[in-house]
Amino acid sequence: MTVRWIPPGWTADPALRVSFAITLVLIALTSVLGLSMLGLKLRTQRALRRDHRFRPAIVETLTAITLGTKQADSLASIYRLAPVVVANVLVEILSMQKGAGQLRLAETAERLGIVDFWRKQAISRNPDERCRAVTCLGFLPAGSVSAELRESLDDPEELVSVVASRGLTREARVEEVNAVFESLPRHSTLVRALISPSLRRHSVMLATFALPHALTSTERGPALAALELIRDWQRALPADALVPLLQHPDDRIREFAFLALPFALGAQPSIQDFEAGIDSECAAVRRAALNVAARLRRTDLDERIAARVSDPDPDVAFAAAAALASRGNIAQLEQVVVSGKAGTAAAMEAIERFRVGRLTC
Amino acid sequence: MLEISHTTTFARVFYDVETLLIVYVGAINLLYIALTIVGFFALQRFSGRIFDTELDSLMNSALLPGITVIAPAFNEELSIRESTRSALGLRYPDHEVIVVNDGSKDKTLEILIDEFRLYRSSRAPSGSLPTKKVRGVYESRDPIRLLVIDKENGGKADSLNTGINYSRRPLFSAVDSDSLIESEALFRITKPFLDDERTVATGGIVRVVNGCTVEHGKVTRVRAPDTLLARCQAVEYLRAFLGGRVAFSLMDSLLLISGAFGVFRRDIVLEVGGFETGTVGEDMELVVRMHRHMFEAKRDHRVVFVPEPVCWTEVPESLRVLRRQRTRWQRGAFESLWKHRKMFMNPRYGAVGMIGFPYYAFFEVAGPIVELLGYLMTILGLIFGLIRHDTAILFFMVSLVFGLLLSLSSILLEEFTLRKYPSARDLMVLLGAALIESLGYRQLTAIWRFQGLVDEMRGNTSWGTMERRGFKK
Repeated sequence: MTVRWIPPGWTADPALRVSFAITLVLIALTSVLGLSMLGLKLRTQRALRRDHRFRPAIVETLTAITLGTKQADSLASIYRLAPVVVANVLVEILSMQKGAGQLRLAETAERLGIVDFWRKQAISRNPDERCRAVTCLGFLPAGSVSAELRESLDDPEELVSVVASRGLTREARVEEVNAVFESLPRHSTLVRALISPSLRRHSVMLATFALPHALTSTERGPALAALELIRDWQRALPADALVPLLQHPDDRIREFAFLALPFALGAQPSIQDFEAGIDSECAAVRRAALNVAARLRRTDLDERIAARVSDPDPDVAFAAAAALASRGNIAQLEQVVVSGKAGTAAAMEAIERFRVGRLTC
Repeated sequence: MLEISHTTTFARVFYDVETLLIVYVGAINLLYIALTIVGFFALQRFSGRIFDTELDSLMNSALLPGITVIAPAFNEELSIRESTRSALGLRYPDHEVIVVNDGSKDKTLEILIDEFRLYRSSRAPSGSLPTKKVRGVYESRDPIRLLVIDKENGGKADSLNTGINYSRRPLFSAVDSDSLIESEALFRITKPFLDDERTVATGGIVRVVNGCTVEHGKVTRVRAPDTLLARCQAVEYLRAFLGGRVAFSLMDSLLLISGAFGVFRRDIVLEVGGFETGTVGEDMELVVRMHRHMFEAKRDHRVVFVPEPVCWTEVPESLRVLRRQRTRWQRGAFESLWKHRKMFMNPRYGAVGMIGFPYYAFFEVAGPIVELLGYLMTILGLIFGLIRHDTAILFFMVSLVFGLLLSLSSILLEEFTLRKYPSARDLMVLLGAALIESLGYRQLTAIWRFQGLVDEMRGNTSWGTMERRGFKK
């Protein structure tokens, strides 16, 4: 049979005919792809609707298992029919449980083979599967899956590291919490920002050893990570090991050390530490030192601060002016304005903000 | 028909040129297909999921760098309230908004002063980029981080430079005042800066807001545009962003971040001297200049495209305004490339010089010339009997079908990765526009882009004006 896709009488160039044929094939392939994706979408929706029917019974049974009024075996038959829904509901309830209820659900998951499934998925090549599996493992009692979660701390997929960290810090186990803390320098700023809240509730535990150890480390990474956390937590902690970092040769560490200083209990920086910061060659360090001096109400530094109102860096000048304004030293700033010296703009802005009540905004 | 013998010199030249055109068309179409395929896999791999579930825990983080959102405004009285509210309402731990009123002749400034209870401030700039005179700086009595700068008219680039001077954050984002930014956009678009310290600039996907419902500065209902012209542009945007830019970013050869929304490192932009005011393509020119500066200083860097919808913009719905826009874009592209032509095929500039630059030169800038030449050759060939009518028709159909294939792929790519259009009706509307796009719209844009090149040669430096309809309620 001959398929005539060129009208009779046409004798078009063979190359063109080939191009046209290729294009038609590509269109057909794309359409097939589109239709199959659509089919997949419809099938998934149908499966979801079907699973939805089983959900109430599963919730009831798992709740009873959690309370100890039913055994795990009662779930076996439903699990055969709707394993995905059972696993999902189990995770939902497990995430809210501690103590005996958590143990019963964990045992149920173990008996049904769900935990083994998660363990296998935790090393899957698909990052989404790894992420889901590690999240689920993180809800199980600590100790039973600690090894798998620790492995996942260095997963190339960022979100997997984050959920592994959350799993390890769900309970106050020193080794696990320290492992997460020690992994911080290996992660990006974003991951550290996401892990920080999980470590916050263990901040007192970390302050006894891990934090001071990091602050006195000779490596840049651990010190910076520790300083970032202290600042992010905004919680007063014993951290006098921070004081030597105020005169660290690395400007970034110095800057972060100043910014973390207000939260360091027991830290007693000397006036020389502040003066060195305020007179630093790095504008970011000067700015941080000025902000903190204002925050800590260091009146012994007023003269130094006032001198910085005429700093060549406008942001530093404003930080100095705002520091004076925050303590109500408006008269001093007005003198700068009247004198017309360098720093007039910063002084005027600080006075305006003080009067409008927007000094910290 | 005026028959010419196939053995004449004219005929031989004609066939040689025609062969070159066919090779060019084949190359560009294969390239677009390759870019779309690369775009598909890149979108599958992209780990944007981190933000969907984690935004709340990031909202109070002190570790994220601060951003200044700079929005130049010229005669924006219809939309300035909503776009400013939208910018202020962005979810991010530390961001400030600077609206630069670029000598508007309408009530843009008055509306801002009234709406946000502004007072005249003494805030001084911390940068020293040269700009037109600043007439006044205003801040709000309310605890919102809004700064309004009123200045003499100097154009978008000049306004952005003014905003950069007054910025107090390590990053800044340049947005158009008529653009609406997604509330989580700042998180998404700053992610590359957090992943890698080498990042100097990022851009995201710009979507067409025409036809969508906007309430209180947010897009609350996504719909395909109502007019055919806007629909064709919606398809075009999908093709450009999901196919082209994703792929070039992956190859470290991205030359362009959309002027509607991009984020830059303030210190690097100050080093290179800010946006160029003498060009109409200041967004592309800055990115190319940043690349050049970093390569020449032998500093490792990257410019990243974030394949997530971050910004909605109003596209022209009249031919007149669309023509002005397209001629301007073409002029800007040519200016940027010509100014930095030293980078062309120069290995000193890495993948930017060896891949990105040649692509833009051969296919984006020269593209309309080749396309129009192709149409002219076809017509001449038919007149002089050098081309058979069936050949001409088949060639046209191949081009049509290929163009349709590219548009179709982009729409499918959107549907299976980002899924911003919720209803099947919208997808069908876009598919319809994809069918019609090659029957007139594409040819018109080719003519306008060619006109842009001609204007550039003539030294025409005007921007033209954009007519705003305001956002649909």
